[in-house]
Amino acid sequence: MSIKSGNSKLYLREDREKRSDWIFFILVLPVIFVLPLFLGSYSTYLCNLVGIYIIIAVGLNILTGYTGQVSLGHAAFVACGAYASALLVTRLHLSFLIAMPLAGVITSVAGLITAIPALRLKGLYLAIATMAFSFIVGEAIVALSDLTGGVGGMFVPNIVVFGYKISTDRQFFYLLFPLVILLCLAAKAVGDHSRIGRAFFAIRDSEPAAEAFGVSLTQYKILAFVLSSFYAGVAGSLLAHYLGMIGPDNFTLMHSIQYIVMVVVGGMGSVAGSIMGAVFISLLPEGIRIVKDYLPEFLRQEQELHMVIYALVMLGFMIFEPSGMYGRWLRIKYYMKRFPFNKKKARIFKRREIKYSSAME
Amino acid sequence: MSFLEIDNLSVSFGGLKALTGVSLSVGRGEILAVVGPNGAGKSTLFNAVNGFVDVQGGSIRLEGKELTRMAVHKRATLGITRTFQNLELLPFKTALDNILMGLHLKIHTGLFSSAIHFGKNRRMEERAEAEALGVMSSLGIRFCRDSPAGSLPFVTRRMVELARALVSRPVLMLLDEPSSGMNEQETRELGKVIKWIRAEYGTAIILVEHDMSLVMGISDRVLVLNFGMKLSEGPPDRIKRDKQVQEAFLGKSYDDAGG
Repeated sequence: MSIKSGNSKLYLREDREKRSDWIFFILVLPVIFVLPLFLGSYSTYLCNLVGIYIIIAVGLNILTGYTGQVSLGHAAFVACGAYASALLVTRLHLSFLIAMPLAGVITSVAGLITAIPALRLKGLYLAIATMAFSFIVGEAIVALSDLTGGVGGMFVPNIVVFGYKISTDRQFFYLLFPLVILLCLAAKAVGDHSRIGRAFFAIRDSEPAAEAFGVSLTQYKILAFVLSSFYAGVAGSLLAHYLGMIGPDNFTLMHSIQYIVMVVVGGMGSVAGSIMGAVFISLLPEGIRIVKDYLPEFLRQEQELHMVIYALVMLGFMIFEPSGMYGRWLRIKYYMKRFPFNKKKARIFKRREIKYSSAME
Repeated sequence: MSFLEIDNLSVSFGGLKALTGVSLSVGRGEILAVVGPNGAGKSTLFNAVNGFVDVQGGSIRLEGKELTRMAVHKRATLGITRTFQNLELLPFKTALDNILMGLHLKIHTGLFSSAIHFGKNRRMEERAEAEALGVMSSLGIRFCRDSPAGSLPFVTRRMVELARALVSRPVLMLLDEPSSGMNEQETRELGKVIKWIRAEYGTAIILVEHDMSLVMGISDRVLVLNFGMKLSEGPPDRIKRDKQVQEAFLGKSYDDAGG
C-alpha cells in the first residue's frame, strides 16, 4: 500500500513555485510579524503552538507526503527532541541555541535507528512498527524517571538567548516564527526542485522506477526518516521550553495521529498543505469551544464532543476532498484564473465527471 | 568483444524455470528485438538485466563489467535505463519533473544546497531542465511540460517515459513493449523515434515487442524465446522464414504435421 496524495482519478498538479506564490509570501510575511502586536496573550500562545505544530507537520510531510512512508510514532520523535533539549539545558547547562539543533540531531539519530527496521516494511506494517517505536519511547520515559521525571513530568527552564530571557508569549513568537519560515522554505525547496525531492516522490509513486533510475531505496528512505525526525526534534525542543513542563502525556499515540491528520487534511506532498492542516487542526478545538456556546444544552454537556467533531471533519475530508485543503485551494485558483471562461474548465473538476470516469474503467 | 554479454543465464521462480541457459550478446548501438509467445521469459530477461530478479546461474556483463549480482540502482550508474510495460510515471508530477527524474544520477547536489536552492543547485537544476526540454522537443512532447503525467493521454505518457529513459544519454536502453496501446500510425512514428535515438545517441536498444511490423522494421537482430529457452536468433528476414519460429507462434502447419 502506498499513500498517494489526492484522488487517484484526479491529477492535480503538485505545483512548483511560481512568481505569484512569492508575491503571496511577501504579502503574508509582514502580516505574520505584526500579528502578535494586536493579539492578546492567549491568542499569541495559540499562534506559538500552531507554529510548533507547523514544524512537526511539515517534517512529517517529508516522510509521509513526499516519500509515502507512514509514521504513527511521530510524537515519539517530538518527545526525543523535547527530552534531549531539556536534559542538555538542565544537566549539561548548554545554551538553548546549541541545545535546540543538537536535540534535532539526536532525534535524527533516533529516526535513523527507526528507519533501519522500517526499510523492510510497507504501508500498514510500517505504521504499526512506528507505533511500536512510540510505545517504546513512552515506556523509556517512565523507566528513566531519574532523568526524565517519569510520569510526573519534568520542569524545563525558559529559553535564554545571549543572556536575554524569553519569558513572554510575544517574545517566543518572534523567536519561533523566523525558524518556522526557514524550515518551511527549506522543505519546499527540497520538494520542488532538487534531485532529493524527486527521489522521494519517485519512491512514493513507483519504487521500481526509482530504483531503475539510480535511486537507492535504502539511502533515501533513511534520509526521509532522518530529515523528518530532525524537524520533529527541533519542534520538540521548542515545545518543551515553551510549555515549561513536559511529561509522557504530551507525546501519546493520540498526538501522533493528530500529526498525521494535519498532513492528510492539509493535502499530502505539499508544504502549503501541511501548514494549512496544522493551522486548521490545532485551532479546531478552539473553534469547537466557541461554537459550543450556541449548541443545545444536551450537546454542550457532552465531554467527547470535541472528538466527535474531529472524526466528522476527518471523514468529511476523506469523502469530499481527498486531495486536502491544498487541493481545494488549487481548484479555487484554477477557477479564478479562468473566471469568465470557467464553465468549461470547471467541468473537469465536477464530482459527477470523476465518478463517470471511474465507472468507465 | 561485444558490449553487453549474457552468458548461459538461468532464472527460476520456485519450481518454474523462467529462463534456462540463455546466451546473448549485443553490440554497441545495436537494436535487438526480443520476441516470443506469452510466458516465454522476455520480461524476465529484461528484469534480469535490470536487476529486478535474482539470477540462479550464468552471468551478465556490460563492457566486461560483471553485473550479475549488482543492485538495481548501481546498474543505473553504468548507463542502463528502461521503460516499463505498465508505465511507472509519477502521476501527480509534471511531465517535466518526471523526465528530470531520469537525470537523478547526473545532478550532484547535496542536501544543504538543495534546501536553500541557490548557487550550485540552482545552476544544476537549470541545466538539467534545459536538457530535459531539449529531449521533450525532439520527441514532440514539449507541449505537456506542465501537465501532470497522470492526466496525459496514454501514448503521450509512453513518450514521457521514453524521454525519461533517454535524457541521461544511456548506453543501453531496455524498452518493454513500447508500442502497446498504440495504433498503427503511432507505432510507425515510434519506430522512427527509436531509429533516431540510435542514430543520435548511439544507444544500444533491446526491446520486447509484440508488433511484428515494428520488430521487422527497426531491429538489427531478433531473438526468439520460447519456454525460457532461446529458439532462434538472427536478422529479421531470416527469423521471418524460420520454420521453428513459425511453429512456436502459429503452431504446426497441417502439411508438416501430416507429413
